[in-house]
Amino acid sequence: MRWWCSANGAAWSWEWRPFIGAWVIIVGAVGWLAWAGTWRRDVAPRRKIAAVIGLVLLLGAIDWPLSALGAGYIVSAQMIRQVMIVTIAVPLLLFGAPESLGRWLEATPRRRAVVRALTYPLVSLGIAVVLLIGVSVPVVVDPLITSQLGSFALDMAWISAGFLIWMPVQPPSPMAPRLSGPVAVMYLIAVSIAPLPVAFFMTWSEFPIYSVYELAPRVFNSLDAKSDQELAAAIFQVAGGLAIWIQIAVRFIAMSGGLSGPRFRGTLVPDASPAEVS
Amino acid sequence: MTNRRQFLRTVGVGAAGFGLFGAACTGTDGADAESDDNSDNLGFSGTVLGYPLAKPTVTFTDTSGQPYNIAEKTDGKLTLLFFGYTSCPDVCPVTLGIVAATLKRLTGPASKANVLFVGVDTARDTPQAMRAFLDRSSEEFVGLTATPELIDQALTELQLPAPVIDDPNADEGYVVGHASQVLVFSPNDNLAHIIYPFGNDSRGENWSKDLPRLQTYEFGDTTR
Repeated sequence: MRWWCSANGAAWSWEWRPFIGAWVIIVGAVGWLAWAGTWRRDVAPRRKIAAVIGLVLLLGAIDWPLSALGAGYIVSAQMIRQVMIVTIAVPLLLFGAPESLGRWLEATPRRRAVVRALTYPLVSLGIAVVLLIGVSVPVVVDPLITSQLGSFALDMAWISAGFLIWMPVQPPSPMAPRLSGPVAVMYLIAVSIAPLPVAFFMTWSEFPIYSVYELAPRVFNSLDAKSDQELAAAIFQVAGGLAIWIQIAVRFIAMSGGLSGPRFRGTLVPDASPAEVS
Repeated sequence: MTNRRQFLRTVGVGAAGFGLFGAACTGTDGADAESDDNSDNLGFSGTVLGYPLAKPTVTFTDTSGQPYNIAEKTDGKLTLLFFGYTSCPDVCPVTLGIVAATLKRLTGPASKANVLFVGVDTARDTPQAMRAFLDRSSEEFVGLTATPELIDQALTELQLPAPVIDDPNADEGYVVGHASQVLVFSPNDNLAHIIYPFGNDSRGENWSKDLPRLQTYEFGDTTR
């Protein structure tokens, strides 16, 4: 049994082959969340649900079959994994993270300083984009993805990039976000645009850019390497963009007071009749 | 002047050593690493043979049941010859797919290169199976078969190893070990001067650069 997915050149098989490392991470995360108090009664249900969905999506992205397909056969599967991890699972996990994590991150001046430095939007987005582009470059992907350790490093880079991207706008409760309101929306728009050069390169390249996927045994005979690459670029742009723009839409609606109009904390006084007023 | 020469010599040796170190660190596998310097291979991505190989003298049978003598049928044409089998899960369909995509992309005479596929698994590589297998890549590809003895003879003439049939696996299928390189016969002299082993050398980008050159290249004497 392998501990992490990687390209091994073997023909694809639909036989279930879980990866130990993925389950260790998820079981460990579940255990830690339980210990940290995520499943307590006083925690809002939506946070618990977010944590569960985030963990399920993360497991789906790092375990068989998606991880095996993405690591050695289909670059579009790899892109699905990236979108799942970076734009969906990580923000859900941050939203569902226990308050003890937020308090721990701000417990000491040094930690606060580190967190502030890493969540400075230009810094976090810059590092995240460099990471995402760096782990998409063929000269990095082709050698790393053929070993379990290299493939693990690529996945950890995605997860790290995801946390860097979302921390400024969605840190663990009760931390206050560095960005909110219209500035947060603009930041997320920048997030949706920044990694696009990778997708453009994949779309418009005349040839498959990754040798590991071009030379991999075909899983679907109708999907050749070039079509697969174009599909991956489309997934990156459309699905990845959609996930971020949903976040933008939710924040925009929240900024405008929601669909029911502005909400007040007071109690509405019944209208007085004209006679009472005069 | 002497000091300047010594300095330049030292810098040159150091730079060469650093370059070798860097090349060693970035290469994944010597056999698969794409060489930046193709001077030994005349600028081609494939491997130029120490001595050229003639087309096999064996008469095969094509998928329509007709006899097919490679030397006669492909005389004066750029020809790619590949030995594989229709149940191959990886190398064969990938190689044929890449070549098919390349030929579709090319324009000019090189796009009309003959692609011949010899099925070495004579038990399963029936004409119908071969045609169905090849049509997934291109209807223009020619499928050839023969008796095991004739196939072995052709492989011997081409200095290629005989196929090795593995033991049946759980679902009663079996894997056949076979030579995975593509031999390219020049249209100028009908000899194979260059082969393309499966790997980085046989990626679509490399085929796209090499096939037009191979269409007109005069190899001359490459014996070494």
